[in-house]
Amino acid sequence: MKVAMVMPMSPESAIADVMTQAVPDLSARWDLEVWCPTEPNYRPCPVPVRPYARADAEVLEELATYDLVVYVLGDSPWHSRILPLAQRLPGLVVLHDASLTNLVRQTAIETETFDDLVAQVTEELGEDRAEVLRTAVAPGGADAWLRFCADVPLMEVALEGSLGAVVHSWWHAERVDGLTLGHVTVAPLPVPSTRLGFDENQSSSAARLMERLPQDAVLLVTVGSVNTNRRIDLLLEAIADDTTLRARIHLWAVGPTEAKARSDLLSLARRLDLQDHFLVTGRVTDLLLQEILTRADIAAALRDPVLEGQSASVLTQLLSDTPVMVYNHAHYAELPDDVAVKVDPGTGSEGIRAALRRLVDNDSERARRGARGRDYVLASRSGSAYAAALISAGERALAAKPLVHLNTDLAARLHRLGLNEEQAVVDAVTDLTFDLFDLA
Amino acid sequence: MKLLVANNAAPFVRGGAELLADRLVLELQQAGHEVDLLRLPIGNTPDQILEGLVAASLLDAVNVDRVIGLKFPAYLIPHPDVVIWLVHQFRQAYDAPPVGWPKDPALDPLVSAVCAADRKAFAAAKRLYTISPMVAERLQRSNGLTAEVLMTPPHAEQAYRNEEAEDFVVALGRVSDGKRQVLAIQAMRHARPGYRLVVAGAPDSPQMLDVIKREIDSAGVGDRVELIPRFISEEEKLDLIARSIGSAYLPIDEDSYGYVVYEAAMSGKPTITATDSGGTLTLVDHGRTGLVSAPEPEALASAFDELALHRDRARAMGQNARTLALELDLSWDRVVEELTR
Repeated sequence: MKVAMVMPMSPESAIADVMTQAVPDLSARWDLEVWCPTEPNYRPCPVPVRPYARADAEVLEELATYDLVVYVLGDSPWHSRILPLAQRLPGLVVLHDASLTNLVRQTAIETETFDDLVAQVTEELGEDRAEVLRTAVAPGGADAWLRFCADVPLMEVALEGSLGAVVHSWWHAERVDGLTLGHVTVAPLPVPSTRLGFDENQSSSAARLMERLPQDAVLLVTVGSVNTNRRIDLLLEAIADDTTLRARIHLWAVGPTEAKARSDLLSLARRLDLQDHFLVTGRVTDLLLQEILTRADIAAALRDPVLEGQSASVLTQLLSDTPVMVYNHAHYAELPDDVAVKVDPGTGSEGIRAALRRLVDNDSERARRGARGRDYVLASRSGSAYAAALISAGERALAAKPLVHLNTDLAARLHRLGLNEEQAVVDAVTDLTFDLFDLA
Repeated sequence: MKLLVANNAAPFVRGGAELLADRLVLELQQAGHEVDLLRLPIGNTPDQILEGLVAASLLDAVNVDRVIGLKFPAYLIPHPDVVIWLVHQFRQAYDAPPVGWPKDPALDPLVSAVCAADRKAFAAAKRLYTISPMVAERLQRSNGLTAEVLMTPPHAEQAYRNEEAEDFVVALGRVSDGKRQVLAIQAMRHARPGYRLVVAGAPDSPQMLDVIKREIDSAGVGDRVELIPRFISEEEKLDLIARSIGSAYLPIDEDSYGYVVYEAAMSGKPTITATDSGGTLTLVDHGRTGLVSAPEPEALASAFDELALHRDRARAMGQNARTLALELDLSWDRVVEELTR
């Protein structure tokens, strides 16, 4: 089977990293080629790579010659030249994020369809939300924008008419249920490799971080972009509220940081008198990240709202033997109970404090959970396991191809009489179609 | 041409539209065309009606040169060559209550869908005809469209005859709420003596027959109203008309001129109809070919009296009615020519 997988191939793309882990196994079953938007540099790949500059008709024409096209999407600009192809040529869509708001917005601007998008959101969700989308400013600041992205994920823009979807958690699968013509497959996301391509940006000051950490400190880390939805503020408050935690924990926020977020968190740490126990590292090298995770005693992934379909950073942390504390919601709730320490998101800093005390006070508990986490990841995550799920999803996507023709035909017929905009008719036709083709 | 005559089908209901479709098929065949009649079911509930709309919209009319659509939803069938001869629209979606549906969140989406589909189907049709001026007027009012009126000829050639009037006015047709035979019976309570009312036709239901019988009893006109509550043959019908003083036909907002009116006119008899009877006014010109009365018992009684007590005048109106009916040139040749050109 001739398959094109359209994905970013930038060395710095974490999504490209996990997707390429599946390529060897995929190429054993598929006649696979990788198509990617042009970049200054590309990551190594064992199958032919075909860069394209624009998502135009010529590219679509060539992609249409494949038996199946797999589109890899995440909520970043790396995918803005992939989404327009997915919208025009039905294929299997791999969704790494549970919200595509930023991508859809950016792509609509680039393809000069932004007014249409805003009009659609106005009609479906009302003028207030459409205005937030139009301006990319939510009343309440950065946190409110993240919540807007969670509430208005715009995944239907990518999935409408698609042959199926691949997601990385059951939670995400539920969120996309009904948006694609085909099947929704939950695939086990592999752990990102230790080489994400950040070596060029190595910070010499970051390399000295480890030396400054007291030997008896309990190192608590968060890994990934330092956004407001990491709830680092609550971590600081929880530590400040507990004498033991205040004395023992050093909290490091590891990952790219915008100046405002960094400044806010440092201010908060100062107010709580934790400035000597809190560090925002900024972006670190792959090597330093490994060193930090090796040294870390506890990792925290308290995402709220949750915008990604699975947490690659949590998988990385688990693989490094580090016990992980998560909120007990979204895909985090799917982690085994003996692997992750789950905190009720409604309990605020007190719930976090109690969970931290449990881990700080009990070295063997930390060790046990760390070991169990590593076993869990090793047993369930690999490029081969991921490829197997993608192959299965590909077969289902091919089986869904007739539905695309059915969908196109029905849409054309309804459009002829202007019934495509009559919800009662669309619902009736959908119900009949589901009955006739046993789609429920 | 290969022609598909498309009509709707309400199970076990056979009325004017069904007779019209059958006759049209026959006439088209006699003119040398290959013709099939397709009847699309239309149910009673909003869901069933919506499904009827969907079925028509999704249908493929293959091996057909032209679709001739008569009623909703049949005229929605997709085809590059559709000629619509509109019997009537789906009036629940257009008219004010009680004929139309009231505003209702459960019904409004269906109303919207019907109107949307009609707009497109009428606009896409190669030509648009209506069966009467009344239907054309409604179309103009509701959709802003001008259609040519192509009035329906009678379903069958009849040996119309005129005899000396006896002492009765005849009320023919299906006995139903819509045809308001009850109103004619109530009028007889106020009518002067000397003549009778003959009500002849199959009741819509046993309940309807009970209503009619109770009305005759309560009005105390048992000796002045003769009820023939069954299907009557064409011969019986023509005989009753021929011997009558005139015909009373009181439908509510009839789409067409009314076959009952036409048959009376062709028999040289005047018709009494009501101001709200719609299409019947095509053939009933007040004082010339018949009488148009307010739909109230007393007013109707006056109209009955005028015909019954002034026979010469009734006879003259009957002759005028026949002249007008002939002038309408209700020929199938013209219908076939228009629908197939």
